[in-house]
Amino acid sequence: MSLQAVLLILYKYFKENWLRIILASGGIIIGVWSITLTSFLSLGLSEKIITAINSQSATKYIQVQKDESGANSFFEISGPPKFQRISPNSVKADTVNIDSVQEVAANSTFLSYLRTSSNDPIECVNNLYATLDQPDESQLIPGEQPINPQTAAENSDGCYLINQNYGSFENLYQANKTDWIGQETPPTANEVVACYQCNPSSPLFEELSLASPQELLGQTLTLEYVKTPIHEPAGSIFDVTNPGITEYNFEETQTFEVKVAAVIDDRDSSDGGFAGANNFFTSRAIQQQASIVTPESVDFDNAGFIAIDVFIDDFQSLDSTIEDLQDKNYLVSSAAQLFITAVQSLFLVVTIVLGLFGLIALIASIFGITNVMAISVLKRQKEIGILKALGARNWDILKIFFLESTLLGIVGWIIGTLVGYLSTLALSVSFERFVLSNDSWRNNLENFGITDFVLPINYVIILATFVIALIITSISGILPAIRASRQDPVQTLKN
Amino acid sequence: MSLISAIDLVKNYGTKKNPIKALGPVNFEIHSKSFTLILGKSGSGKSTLLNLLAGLDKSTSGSLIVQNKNLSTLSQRKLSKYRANIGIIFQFYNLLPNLNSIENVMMGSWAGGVEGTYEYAEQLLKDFGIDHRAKANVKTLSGGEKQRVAICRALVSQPEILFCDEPTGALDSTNERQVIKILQGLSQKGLTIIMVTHSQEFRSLADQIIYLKDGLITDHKNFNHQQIPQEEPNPNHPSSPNKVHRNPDEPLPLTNSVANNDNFNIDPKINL
Ligand SMILES: Nc1ncnc2c1ncn2[C@@H]1O[C@H](COP(=O)(O)OP(=O)(O)OP(=O)(O)O)[C@@H](O)[C@H]1O
Ligand SMILES: [Mg+2]
Repeated sequence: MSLQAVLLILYKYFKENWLRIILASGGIIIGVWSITLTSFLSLGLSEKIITAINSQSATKYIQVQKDESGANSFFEISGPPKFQRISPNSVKADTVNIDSVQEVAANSTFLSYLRTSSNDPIECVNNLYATLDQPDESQLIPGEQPINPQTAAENSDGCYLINQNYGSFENLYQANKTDWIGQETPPTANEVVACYQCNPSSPLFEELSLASPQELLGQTLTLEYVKTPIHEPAGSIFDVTNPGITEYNFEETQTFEVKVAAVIDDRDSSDGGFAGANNFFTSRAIQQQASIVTPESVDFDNAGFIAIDVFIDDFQSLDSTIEDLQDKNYLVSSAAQLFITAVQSLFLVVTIVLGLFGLIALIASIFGITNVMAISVLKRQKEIGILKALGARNWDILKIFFLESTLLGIVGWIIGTLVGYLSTLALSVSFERFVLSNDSWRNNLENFGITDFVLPINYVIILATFVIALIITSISGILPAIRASRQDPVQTLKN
Repeated sequence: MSLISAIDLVKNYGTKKNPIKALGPVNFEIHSKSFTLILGKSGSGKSTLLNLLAGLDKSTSGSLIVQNKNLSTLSQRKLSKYRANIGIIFQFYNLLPNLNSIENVMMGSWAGGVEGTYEYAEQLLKDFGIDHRAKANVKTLSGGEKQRVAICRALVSQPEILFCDEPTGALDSTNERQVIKILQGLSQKGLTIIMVTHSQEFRSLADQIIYLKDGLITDHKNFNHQQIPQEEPNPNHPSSPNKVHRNPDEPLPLTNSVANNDNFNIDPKINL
């Protein structure tokens, strides 16, 4: 039987029975629809989150370190690590052939701390950075960690941390809403959000002789940024259990006059929020200004640091760059990679779970389509008999019915994909309507590089659902088609 | 040699253990270009025999040789090919309801895998006076029109033999006479026609009549004056002046004949 004839028969049959056919392909429509919608949605959202991560230059770097033992994985290190201090120049030389690397810079160039005017800068930093008497390695109880200098800093007298990264202001405000006094908008360039107690061992309010948080509000404080570079000769060893930092070089001291715009009462955490957190929250403007200044007296490029930051152009090259760096025997850590892997695997799980529902609908539709096709064969017995009497082979009849079920699948797939696409579109439009029309939400999102909610079409998913729909309809169509082809022409013509 | 010969042909329905005898054993021969009638009461096995002849069914035993092929032993595939090369019309037309007239006619070629041309199909429709309904859905046609479309469909593949199972059984007398006239014309052009009927109207056309009763041949009439000698055909045979001998490889020259003579206006004085 010519293809022309098969197509004519199918065309005429579809023309006469289109409504029935669309109804019959309902299972395919729903299945394809739900797979399309859920995967577009979760893939689109995960892309947005990655965009957000990508937009934060603070995470757009890979931190490299070199272990004394030459291990290039943290898993290979046994016991507390002993880092070789490395210079930016040596890392630059190692990464000169890695295209994605844009910049190499020393990590932890400075320690930035806030000092109230009540004490001497050197005393303050020495307090913060007091080399604690670390116990002997041999005296450590197995599993016990050596004392972290950072923990020591939290307990120093008269000195307070400036919080560099507190996320969004909105988060800070929401977390401390019950303890919040004063302005509820982000601090400007000459404003600060201050904790009332800051440091339990040397409360800020005692330093400033204040009676209540309200008294702190509106005060002008002179904040001092004291920068002490932590570097030693390149190649020297940094032992975590014995940091060996004995003196501090004050390369730069900057002062900023700030007005306390809001106070967090951190004396009691039972009502939620911070407690005794020695934090000042400044605007990013101050932080940036303070970090720009680089003392000229130090040759940073050849000094030895515990860690060096390798900045890359974008996240596409993150994984390959990490591999390249590991090949050069660097210990590599990347918050971005951990984060992205977490986001991607989370969304993959969501996509699979939701897609599974669609797949179940598709599999269930096998029964529906088989049933519809069986009825179609019964209804068209006479037609089968006629075609056979005119010389059609069994194979021709099989072709007609098999193609019919396949077309059913294609119709279902087209409608499902279309509905899936339109509902995805509707979702992104309504997201934009409701979320982006809110000024503060929009500003927050823009800070993370998100300016729209366009969910991109994923052609792999479209192709995959097409293949699945074809497989499903082939499974459904084959038995009825075989049955049709085996009809006895005499019997079918009798009716 | 005859075009068709049946030797001890038997068709049983039912199971092997519990056979329902429908036909046979029967023995007969049909010559090329002859007009054969199969007559008999309802249930006598006429359709059973015709289905065997048209390759729609397989015999239980015996052999049925058509165009030098034993239909009883042909594979399904070859049987399909055989069916593609013969013409068949039915009492209830058996048109494909979703297609229009011309598409139904074309299906006569297409179903058997033959390309066929629309021109030839159109010509056939024109010859039988239904070209104005070529694009009409067959559901809207009258019975007589439907049967004429069915005849066109049977002829479109230019068959050597035309099988008819009560072709006028569902028609009124006017339409019946019209169909009879068409078949007469086709027969005169040299088409071998084998027709099942219980209508007496066709008797005068027949070269031979096979009478069936309870699946057996009770009578077999040959009208000598219409017998055409196969070996030495004589187109000018005095008793069959209209029969024209033709080369079996050539298509039947149907299109410029048959109906064109009088455009199928039924002549009430027609003598059947
Ligand atoms: N599929 C079948 N199963 C069982 N018996 C059958 C079957 N087909 C036909 N028969 C029987 O075979 C016999 C011959 O049937 P057939 O259809 O050939 O009769 P017919 O001469 O064409 O009758 P009518 O003039 O009514 O069409 C009948 O007795 C019929 O009941
Ligand atoms: Mg019958």
